[in-house]
Amino acid sequence: MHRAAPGRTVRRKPATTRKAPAAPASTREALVPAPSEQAPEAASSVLPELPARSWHGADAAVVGTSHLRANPPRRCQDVALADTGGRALAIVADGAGSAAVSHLGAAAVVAGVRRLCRTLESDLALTLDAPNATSDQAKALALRIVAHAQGIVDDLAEEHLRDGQDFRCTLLVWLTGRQRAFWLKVGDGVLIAERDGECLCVGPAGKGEFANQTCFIGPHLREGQWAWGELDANRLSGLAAMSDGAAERLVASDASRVAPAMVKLLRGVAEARVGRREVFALLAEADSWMGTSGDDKSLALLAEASSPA
Amino acid sequence: MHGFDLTLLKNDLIENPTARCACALVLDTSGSMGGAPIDELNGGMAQFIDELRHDDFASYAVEVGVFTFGGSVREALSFTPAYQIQDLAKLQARGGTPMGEAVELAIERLAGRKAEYQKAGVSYYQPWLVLMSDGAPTDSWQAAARRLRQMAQDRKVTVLAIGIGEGAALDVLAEFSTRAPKRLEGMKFREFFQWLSQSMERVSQSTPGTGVPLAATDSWDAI
Repeated sequence: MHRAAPGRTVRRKPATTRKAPAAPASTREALVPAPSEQAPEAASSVLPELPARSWHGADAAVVGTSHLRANPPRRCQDVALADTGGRALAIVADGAGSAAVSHLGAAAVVAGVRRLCRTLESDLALTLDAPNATSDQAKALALRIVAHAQGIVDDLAEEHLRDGQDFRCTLLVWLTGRQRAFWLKVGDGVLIAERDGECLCVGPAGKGEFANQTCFIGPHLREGQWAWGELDANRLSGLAAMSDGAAERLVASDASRVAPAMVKLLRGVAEARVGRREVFALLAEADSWMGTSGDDKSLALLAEASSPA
Repeated sequence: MHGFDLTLLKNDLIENPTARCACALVLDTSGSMGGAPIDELNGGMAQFIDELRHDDFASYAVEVGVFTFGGSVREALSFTPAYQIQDLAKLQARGGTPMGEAVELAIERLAGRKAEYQKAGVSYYQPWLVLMSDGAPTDSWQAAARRLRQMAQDRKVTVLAIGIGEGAALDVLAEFSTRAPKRLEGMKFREFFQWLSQSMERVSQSTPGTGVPLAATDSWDAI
């Protein structure tokens, strides 16, 4: 029989049965004609079948300098993945700085969400590739991903005999499709879409009043604390997900501007000139990050291939 | 992968302003603080500023404001980033203990600073207010205590109430904060301010989370 560590609560609910906190209302954007609740089939008459697109990806996560001050140094709590070995997807998780083993949570959540998306490929095809998909399908997808991620944290807590809070992490997801791109955001960090050659922030800012307030995949995630949405894939040429540490130099703190470097990075990814090594080098380059908080930095990039994949 | 010059990106990054953490020191400089206590307080303050200035990030992130109550209430230092603080004038001990008025002034200045952050689009951490006294207030302090305590309950400010020596009215200090007041052991101002600078450094470097674990206070705490 498992015993909890003193003073800790161990959650034992099976991962696969966990119910996600209710999502906020759909944030499907005007770029995609949003079917009404009463007539979800309305969109099917205006969206043609589109061919599959080819994407390149690059990702990296770098430990922050503030983590190196501790003795022994703290591990990097960020995990980033840009996976084009199937439907192109990007996932970033940032473990809570004050949580003892959140690096384990971030790693498991990224791996688990990737696996879930691969398993759900037939559903994703109906949701993101089919011209007549409804926003309800995307909402169901969002709920499934969050429930699964919550369950992963529950499972870790049970396995390691710790409180689920110890594994909590943010979660950012991009899933590409022929008709639309799906995004999910739990906690802080930034999602970016390159549309018509311009990079824009997608989704809510994700912070509370104070700079270190956010929410996490974990036991305390509540209704209304996370968001999802869809964008018209036809006008997108690049997607990015990054932790708040990376955003310190790549996005204005009020989310009003994206650094010009992002367009260049995405172009480099599209042309297969920027890969994991180049993204790592950028995030690890000390001078560029001087004066920032020293937080961990992670970045996952997807760009429509402009050369053969 | 070749042919991508990362140095070209350096000029294409964004210089976001550092997130700020305001720290209001509300200090008893009444006549009873005369002699060794005020000397030690001045020494501890100087050390506090010096330690913040030597931290790469905290020196920009932590903004210190000093409010004194000794005879009258004075704003000895308006909120200033640690790296910009030059010579802090030595505090002098004199007069009564108008603690309530000093707390009201600090609250007002904190609100003003927060509004400036918001107007400038600068993100900020939950501010701190450190209240230190060796006695009991000589003015009407109850309204200020209720207001500050409510702010602490609403998680708008972190309040640390510190009693200096055996004569401190801890029961009164307790009314200003949701945390139990602590008593400074002996003249351990330097130990206290060292702890405070370390705490501020932790806050300013905190990654997103629900709280910042602070160091133990046993180096200066008599309780």
